[in-house]
Amino acid sequence: MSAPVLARRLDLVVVGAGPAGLAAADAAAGVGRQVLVLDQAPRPGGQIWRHRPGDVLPVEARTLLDRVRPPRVAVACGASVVDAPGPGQLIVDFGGRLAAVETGAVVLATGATERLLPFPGWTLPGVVGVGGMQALLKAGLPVAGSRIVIAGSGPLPWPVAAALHHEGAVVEEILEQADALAVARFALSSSDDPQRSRARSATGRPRSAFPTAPAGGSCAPRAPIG
Amino acid sequence: MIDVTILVNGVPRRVPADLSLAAALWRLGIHRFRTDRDGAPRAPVCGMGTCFECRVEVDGRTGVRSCLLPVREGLRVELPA
Repeated sequence: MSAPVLARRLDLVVVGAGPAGLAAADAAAGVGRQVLVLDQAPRPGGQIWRHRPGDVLPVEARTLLDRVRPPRVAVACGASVVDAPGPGQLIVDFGGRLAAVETGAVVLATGATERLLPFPGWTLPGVVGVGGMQALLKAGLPVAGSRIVIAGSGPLPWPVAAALHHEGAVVEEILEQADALAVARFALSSSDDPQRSRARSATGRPRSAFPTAPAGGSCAPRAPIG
Repeated sequence: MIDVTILVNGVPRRVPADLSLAAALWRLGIHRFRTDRDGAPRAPVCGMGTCFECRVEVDGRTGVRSCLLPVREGLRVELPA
């Protein structure tokens, strides 16, 4: 493949700018390594610290996002790794432009995605993963007045239900697969955790539970191609 | 919030800046982002770039995941009729 080679010599490429990737990049930069962080999203933060300009983020997120930015660390968003043709070689799609990247090491911090169990009708428009709904909410989808049913299991449906309610959606039903006792245990275990405690009440005010600070995400919109 | 104009099949539409293209199209009431081999409409599922259900043609480039792309002034998106 004939892609331009990134001019800058790199010691480390971190794939994924969520909490893990940012922490890895910060640690490597802290011992003088030349680091490039890639993320396919428009801004660093991953799913957990997904934000738009002006959003408030936890102090921990702001601190890390402030440290992992140029010139200390090169960050490219809208960038996806599409091939690893050899040791220390990556082909990266920087928003439609391919470039070869040469690096001493690669850290994969690509995170997790939801496990969606198919059922009849699951491909219909309007059927989304609960994490997907959360992402779309944070990406600016208006939901006020929308009627929503949430089905599934795990900790995520609850805070998303609270967020949807907060944004004016009508959450018609939450269909939880786990039994009531398990849900009660989860609620109790969450009571000392401000992020998770959002799950306890659909009338909660999730934002007020966070120590707040201005969002700090920073990212080159395109490839830092030399 | 500042609006931008995007072209949806050539038709100018005003949408708030800083939205993802997926959120913007959904906001415009569009539920057929693409058409699968059976002719059925498909639309965003994961919202975070992993499922590829929301891929659209943007500025002549196919297979663009609309959930990962912020809208910008003059963006051209082609959707199935």
